[in-house]
Amino acid sequence: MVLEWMKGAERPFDRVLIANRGEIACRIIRACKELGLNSVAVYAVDDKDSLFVEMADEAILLDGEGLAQTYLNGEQIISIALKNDVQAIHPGFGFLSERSDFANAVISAGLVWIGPPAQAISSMGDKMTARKLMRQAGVPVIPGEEIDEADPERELAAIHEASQRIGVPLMIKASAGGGGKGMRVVSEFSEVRSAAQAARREAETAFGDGRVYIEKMLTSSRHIEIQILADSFSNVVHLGERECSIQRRHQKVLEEAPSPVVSEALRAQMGAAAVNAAKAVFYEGAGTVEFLVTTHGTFHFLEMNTRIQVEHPITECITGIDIVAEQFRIAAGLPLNREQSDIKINGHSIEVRIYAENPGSGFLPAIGTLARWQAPEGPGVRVDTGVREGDEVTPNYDPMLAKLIVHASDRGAAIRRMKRALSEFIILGTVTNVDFLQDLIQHPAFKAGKTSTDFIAEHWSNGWSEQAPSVEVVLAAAVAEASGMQRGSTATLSSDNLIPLRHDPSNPFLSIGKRFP
Amino acid sequence: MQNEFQDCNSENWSVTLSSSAQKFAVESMSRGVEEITTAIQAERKDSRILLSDGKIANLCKVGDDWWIHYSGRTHRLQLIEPGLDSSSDEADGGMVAPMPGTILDVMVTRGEHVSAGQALILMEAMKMEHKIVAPTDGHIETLFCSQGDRVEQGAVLIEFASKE
Repeated sequence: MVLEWMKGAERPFDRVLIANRGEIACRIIRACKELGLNSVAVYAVDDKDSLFVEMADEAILLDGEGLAQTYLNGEQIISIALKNDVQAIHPGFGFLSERSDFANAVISAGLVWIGPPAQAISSMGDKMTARKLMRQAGVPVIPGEEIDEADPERELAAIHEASQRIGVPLMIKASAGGGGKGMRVVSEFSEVRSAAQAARREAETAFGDGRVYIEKMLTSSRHIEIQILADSFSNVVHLGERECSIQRRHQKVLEEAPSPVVSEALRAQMGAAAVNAAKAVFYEGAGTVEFLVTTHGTFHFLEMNTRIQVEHPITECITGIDIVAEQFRIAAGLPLNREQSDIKINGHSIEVRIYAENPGSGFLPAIGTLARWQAPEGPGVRVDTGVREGDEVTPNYDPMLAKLIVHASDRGAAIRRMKRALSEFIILGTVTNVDFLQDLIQHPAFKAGKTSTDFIAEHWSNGWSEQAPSVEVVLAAAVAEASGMQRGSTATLSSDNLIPLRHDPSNPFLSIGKRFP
Repeated sequence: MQNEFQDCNSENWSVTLSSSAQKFAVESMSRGVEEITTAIQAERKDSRILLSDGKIANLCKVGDDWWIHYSGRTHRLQLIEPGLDSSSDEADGGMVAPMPGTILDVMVTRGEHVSAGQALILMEAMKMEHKIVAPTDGHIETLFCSQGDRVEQGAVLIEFASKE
C-alpha cells in the first residue's frame, strides 16, 4: 500500500536503507519515522551499541572491519538492500554520498537513489569540469585557469604562464581534489614550479588523477553557501544562504542563517546563481552551492556539494522546510510543492558543532567515556546527535558528537539563546569544545557579525585556554569525594560487553564498574 | 576529611572539610602556597552538589579525575591519592588504563616483586601500544585484567604497593 503523501509518485517506496552512521543516520531515521517509512540501518561491528542501530526499525551487521570493508563497501550495502526488501537508499553525507559509481550501482540494482543523478555528482566532483560548466551557465567562478596539458613539461609551462596572468597569492588545486589534498598556496612566483609539482604528485597519489587548475587566492573572504532543492521536473528553488565562515583546521565550527552581511538583493543574486548552477548539471534533490564572498561583496562559485550538509538544520529552522523529507519526496518523483515566492525567511538560526576535541591543545581530537551527557532543552533549541550517556568516544570515526541548533527572532536573540543552551550542556568524561564555543559566541567581533575564514586563527592567535577552577568548583569536588559520590550514582555502564560480567561475582570488573558513576 | 587535587594549570589544591547534618563547610583550603578562606557551604544531592551560592554543580568521577560542570563551564580536577609523593605522576595503589583499549600482554603475576621502570602491562589504545610500568620498586597486590580484555578509560588494571 502506498503511503498517503506518496500517492501519485512515479517511484514509490516504503522501506529505506541508511548507508551511514552516527548523527546523520539518526536524523534520517527520524525523518523516516515521521513519514511512515520503514528504516533499515547497516552498521560495522564496533557500532553495535550505537544509538542509530537501536533507533532504526531494523539493523543489519556489515561484514568486515575498517571503513573500506564496511561503510564504504557499496557492493555489500546494495546486496543487503536487495536481500532485505529495501526499495531506496539514503547515503547521508560523507562515505558513499558523493560517489557517482555508487549512485549508478544503486539505480542499476533497481533501487531508488535518494540523491542527485550520478552525472551531476561526477560533473560537480571534477572541479575543472564544474568551473567550465559554471562559466557557461553565467555563474561567476573564482578568477583562474584550468590547465589542460597532458605532457608534464608543457603543463608546468602552462601553469607558469597562467600564474603570471592571475597574479599572487594564488592556489594550485587538484581537479579531483577535496579535503585539502592536492592543494598548494603560492605567494611568490618563484614557488610556482615546486608547488605545482607537489600538488600534482599528491593528487596523483590520492585520487589517481593529477590534473590541476589555478585560482586566485581571495583572502579574508567569507564562506557563504546557498541551499537548493530541485525536482525531476526541472523546478529549482533556493532556500537562502548559510554563513559558514568560522572554521578550524578547514572544518566548519559554527554556521548561521541568514548571513549578517547578505542583503535581500545579494541573496536574490546568489540564489539565482545557485539555481543556474543546479540547472546546468540537471540537478535533482537537495544540494548546496558554495561561494566565496569578498570584502567588496562580490561572490564566486567555489564548489557544489551534491548531498545533504551537516549544517542543513539552520536552513530548516528559518524556512520551516524539512530538507530530509524533501529529499524523500523528490526521490519518489514528486514535484516540489512550493515556488520561490513561497519561501520566506523567519528569524535567525545558529548551529555549533560539538566536537570531542581539546581546544586548549590545537583542537586535537579527544577520546573518552561520555560518563554524563545532558543536552540543553527549552524554547528554540534543537540537538541532533548520534550519542547518548555512557557511550565511548573512540578514535575510529569523526569526533563530532552533536550539533546544537538554536532559532530565535533575530541574530541578537539567537546568540543569547545559544549562550544559554551551551551553558546547560553537561558533558563529563570527555574533553569537548563546549567552553570554547561559549567564548566564541560571546566574542565582540562575532557579535558584530565580523566573521571570516580566519576568525579563530586571528582572535586566538596564541591558542585558547580553559578557565581555571573557582573555589566553588574545588569545594564541589571535595564534597563529592568525601561523600563517596562515585559509588552512589544511578547511571550505569553502557558497554554491553561489560554487562554480563556484572553477574559474575568473581569477576574483578565488578569493582571497576563501580568506579564509574 | 582532607583531599588534594590538581587543576588544569597544574596548581595543587588542598581542601579540608568539616561536616554537620549533611552540610559541608571548608575548614581550610589552599592553592599552592596561597591560603584561601571561604564561607561557602555545600551539600550533596545524588550526583549533584548544591552550593550555598544557590548554584548547582554536576559531577562524575572517571578514574582519578573529577569532572565538574558548574556555572556553565566544565572543569577537570585530578584527585591526588593521600600519602603519595605529589611529584610523582604515577598513582600508587590502583594503576588505571590511560584510555580505552585492549590488553595485549600482562607481564607480571600476583604477588610478584618488581623494580621501578619495569613493564607490567602492555595495552593497545588508539592504534598505539602503551606500556604501563612500575613507578617505584614494589610488588603486585592484585591483577584486574588479563590478556585480550577490553578495558575502559580509567579502569583499574593493577593494585600496586610500593616498597617502604
